[in-house]
Amino acid sequence: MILKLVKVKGDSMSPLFLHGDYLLLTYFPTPTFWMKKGRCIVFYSERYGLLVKRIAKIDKNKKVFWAEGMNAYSVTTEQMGENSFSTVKGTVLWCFQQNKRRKNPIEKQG
Amino acid sequence: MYKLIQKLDGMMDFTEVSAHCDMPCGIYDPITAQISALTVVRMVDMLETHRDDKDPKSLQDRNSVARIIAIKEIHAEKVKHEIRIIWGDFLKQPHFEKYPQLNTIVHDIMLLGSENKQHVNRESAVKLVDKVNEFAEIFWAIKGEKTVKAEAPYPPKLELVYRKV
Repeated sequence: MILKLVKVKGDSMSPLFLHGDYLLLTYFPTPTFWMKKGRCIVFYSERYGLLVKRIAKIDKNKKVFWAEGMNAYSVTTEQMGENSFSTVKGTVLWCFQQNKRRKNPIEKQG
Repeated sequence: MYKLIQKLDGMMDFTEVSAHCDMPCGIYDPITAQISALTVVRMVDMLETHRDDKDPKSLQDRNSVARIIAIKEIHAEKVKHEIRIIWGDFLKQPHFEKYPQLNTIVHDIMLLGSENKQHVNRESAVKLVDKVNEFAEIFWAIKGEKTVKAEAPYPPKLELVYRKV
């Protein structure tokens, strides 16, 4: 398993992740069985670039997923569209918070 | 741990992942509201100078007073508008939990904004500045930034809370 640290830009994943937080990711390759509804991932969108979002829906047969933000300000699931598993660059394992909010911010994800 | 990672980031420049929004976001700063609150005080001070107008019924004096009142009205409303944006778009539940006084401060600003539109009262205008400063202090604490208090470099030269750079 390869680990990677990335920095959050923007607030559409608030209150889970805030602008300026650092995320510890499991990096490529992300096994298919890790893809689970509610899990937070980083993936590459042709339209929006590298995004951190939560998995809203999965089709394991077609190996595609749909993503969602955590609040009303996020681009919508429809805008992000259907995404291939191959676009996933990592799964969020841990969030290092800029301002401590709770013990483990990702423990409540699905 | 966060500070250690932040130092590493400074050296290694970690990749940014976007929690992308459907509108330009992330630009929040209470300084606009603070300057508007100061403007309200300034307008009250300017109105006070018109108490001794030689000919208060002259068209010129009435024009001046009307303009000052209009500016006071605009900036008192602007304070309310700017604070509402930060309260509605930036602040989230964890912030309210950490700073339980936030909602009361915002409500006080709304009331003081209206009061300053209705009256010409310096004490009330200064209270508005103080309350917006209090809000700014919490805002920057949430952002993890330090603040300093310094006298504004223009009249009415009241103390403002600035982000420490």
